[in-house]
Amino acid sequence: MIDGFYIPGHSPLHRAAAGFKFLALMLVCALAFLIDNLVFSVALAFAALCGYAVAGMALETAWRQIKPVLFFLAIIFLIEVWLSHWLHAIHIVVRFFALIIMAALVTLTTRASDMLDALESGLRPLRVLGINPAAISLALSLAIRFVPMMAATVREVREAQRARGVDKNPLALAVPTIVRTLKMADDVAAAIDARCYDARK
Amino acid sequence: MIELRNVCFRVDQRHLLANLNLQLSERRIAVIGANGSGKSTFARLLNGLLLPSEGEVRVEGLNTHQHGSDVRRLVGFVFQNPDNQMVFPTVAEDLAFGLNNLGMGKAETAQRVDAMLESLGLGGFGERLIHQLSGGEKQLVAIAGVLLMKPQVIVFDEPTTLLDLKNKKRIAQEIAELDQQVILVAHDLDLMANYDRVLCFDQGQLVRDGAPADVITYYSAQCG
Repeated sequence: MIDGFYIPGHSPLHRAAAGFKFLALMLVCALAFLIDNLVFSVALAFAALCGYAVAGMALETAWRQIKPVLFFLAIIFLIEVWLSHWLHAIHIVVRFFALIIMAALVTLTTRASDMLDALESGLRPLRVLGINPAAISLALSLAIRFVPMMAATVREVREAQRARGVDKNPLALAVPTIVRTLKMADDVAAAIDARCYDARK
Repeated sequence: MIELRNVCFRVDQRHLLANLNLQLSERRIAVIGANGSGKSTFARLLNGLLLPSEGEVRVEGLNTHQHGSDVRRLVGFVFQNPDNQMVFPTVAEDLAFGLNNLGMGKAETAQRVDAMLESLGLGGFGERLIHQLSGGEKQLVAIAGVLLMKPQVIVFDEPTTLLDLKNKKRIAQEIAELDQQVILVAHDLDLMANYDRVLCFDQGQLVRDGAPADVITYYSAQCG
């Protein structure tokens, strides 16, 4: 999950506007489902892999993005074989593979702040409905920032439990993790206040 | 100058701080006391992160009740755990957060962030992921985030507690070199030997207020 963060670079993909990359990704996703063709999906996957080369990233980086979802792709493949046909199953999996590594490529070549700026701009028309785009943007930023911290918290609690002889007890893991997370949330809220954030802006 | 008039702070009828009357004008002020003595509550009252249950806190005449955001521009705050202080994944993005909140443009923000990182010996750290920094580097970035907002006063809440000796010395050096008024909450008594004034809290009461030699001697005796 941590590999999904921005990797600095100066490639054309890094320099492209975040909003443009988002729109392009949405368009490609729509096309992938509208054009129900295996050759098109394979071409998309190939184009996505070429994108990694353009961004100056090794294919290993693409592999790291797809590795965590391989299990789910395998499940989808088996279900499709069972319900439909093996050729259709391959098509579905190739389509998901292409879209996942393409979406990952966008996050790997776009700073979180640029992504959030683009999101904030895109959500601005929703202000008339009383929705605060800046608040949504900050919430997403915090979600990105605290993924590794949450993982570290879970790891520390698990180690502490093991040190005391408790192994594989979901409740023993959940309670201290939740308590620590709530305490952290209090501190983070105070820190955001201390840095002059105005939720009404 | 920060002024506290008849300040009390309660949670569920429990007094965490009682009847404080203080004027804080010295350039270097330290705050000591046992865990749970009210030090951190006191620190959070100074920039309006907490509001007093009774009495008032004024910073340059501004009441923290009515002018919270103006007070927070004047009084920066560095927390004990820098991990909880930073909200963006990379160093440059996080440092830009405070300046963006002040309404500064992108170009000037980027320029100031780069200059600040250089001045703290963190040149080239802008694109680094915060969760991959060492504890000392994280605390330096947290301090940089506060310094960029050019506060008149900086409150440090146990900034060296989670650091190893080398990083502790580095942070202490950075704090010592600051131009701003510093209010330092700490357990490390070495950090405050040259301070102008030390406040000692015990169970929500200010029990000693004076020169470091006097207050630290008193506190050390209390700790046995």
